[in-house]
Amino acid sequence: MRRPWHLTRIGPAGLLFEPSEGLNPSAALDYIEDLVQVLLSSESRYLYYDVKDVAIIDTVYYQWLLQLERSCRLLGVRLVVLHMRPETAFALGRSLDGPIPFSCAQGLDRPPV
Amino acid sequence: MENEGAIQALLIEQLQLKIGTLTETIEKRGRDIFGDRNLMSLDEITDASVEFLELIVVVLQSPEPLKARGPAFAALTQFISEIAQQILVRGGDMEQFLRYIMFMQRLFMESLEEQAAMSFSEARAVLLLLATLFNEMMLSVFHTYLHEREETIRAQQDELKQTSTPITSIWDGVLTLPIIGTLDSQRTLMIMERLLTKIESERARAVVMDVTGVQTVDSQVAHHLIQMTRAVRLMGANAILTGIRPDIARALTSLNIELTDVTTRATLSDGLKEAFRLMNIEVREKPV
Repeated sequence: MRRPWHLTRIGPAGLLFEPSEGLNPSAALDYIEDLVQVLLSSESRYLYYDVKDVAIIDTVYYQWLLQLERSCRLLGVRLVVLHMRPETAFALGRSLDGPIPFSCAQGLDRPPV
Repeated sequence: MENEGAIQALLIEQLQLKIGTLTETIEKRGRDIFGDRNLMSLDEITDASVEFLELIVVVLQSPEPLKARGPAFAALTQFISEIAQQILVRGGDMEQFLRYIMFMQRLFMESLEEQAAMSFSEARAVLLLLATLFNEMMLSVFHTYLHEREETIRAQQDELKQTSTPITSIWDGVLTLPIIGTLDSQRTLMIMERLLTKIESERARAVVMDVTGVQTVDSQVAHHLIQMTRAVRLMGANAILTGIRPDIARALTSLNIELTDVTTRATLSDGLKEAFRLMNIEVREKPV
């Protein structure tokens, strides 16, 4: 089955995850198993999640990111969210009620924080 | 109703009979008040005097002259509001304009005094009608004045907010944000919006937010600060909070505010050092 994302190898230990429009964040559990499989087989240490084309990160989408981060952590993989837009960060920053567990970066060429 | 109609007809008749004298007197007074101070040109005063009397006649000719939503009455109050706004914009005094309206009211009443055939009840009805009409006009001037004042205050507040929170790029990739005064929700949103846009445009990697100038911190202000630091982090930049005074530290402790995910430093200087350290920049004295 074709999954709603595109994966690209970045260096020896990184994997770039680009979600497509068909990604349904409420179906997170269906996706996690496949992604874990890919992360294990590729021996990745970093999963770069590009949100450049994600217009809105609501609570459902944020929960999907949290679940993905928990799965990555179990495998010793660091989740880095890339290219967050100012308006998305603005809305999300206001709705969060706890620390952000994943890292964020402005691009692949920038260090994650 | 019949009586009201007769009163209106009487007023219209008086106005039409004395329209020339009334226009001249109103115009002369207008020139004395507004002409000398360049608040209105002589042509504008003449046009306004004629239009004013025409509008009064139209209002009196309408079936219900004082019906606020009636088109004739609305046109009259709109006209008065526009004149008031024009005078305000040109730096005029509203008190003088109100006194001008009161002068016109007195002029109307004086012109009717010459109508000797008027009974007491007719005179009372005329006075009541004129008083109501002119009071409404003065109210519309008052509303215009309030509206203009509110607009001015809002513009000043916006400007103050813009200038009171300068976001400065002090080094490639390092922004400073000194916050002074009170941090309410509206201001937080404005700062956040500007800060996040600046982070994107400057590709900033560190933001030093200095709260030395924040007077008090309650749970809401602390919440706003945390929101800002999280939004900065989502943009892929480090947020460093500096200038937490002893009283603010005590307030944060007593409020049980969790700042574990926020990098804090005592002073702005320490915050800058931390920002440079994060960016692997070393600043040191040049040996003499």
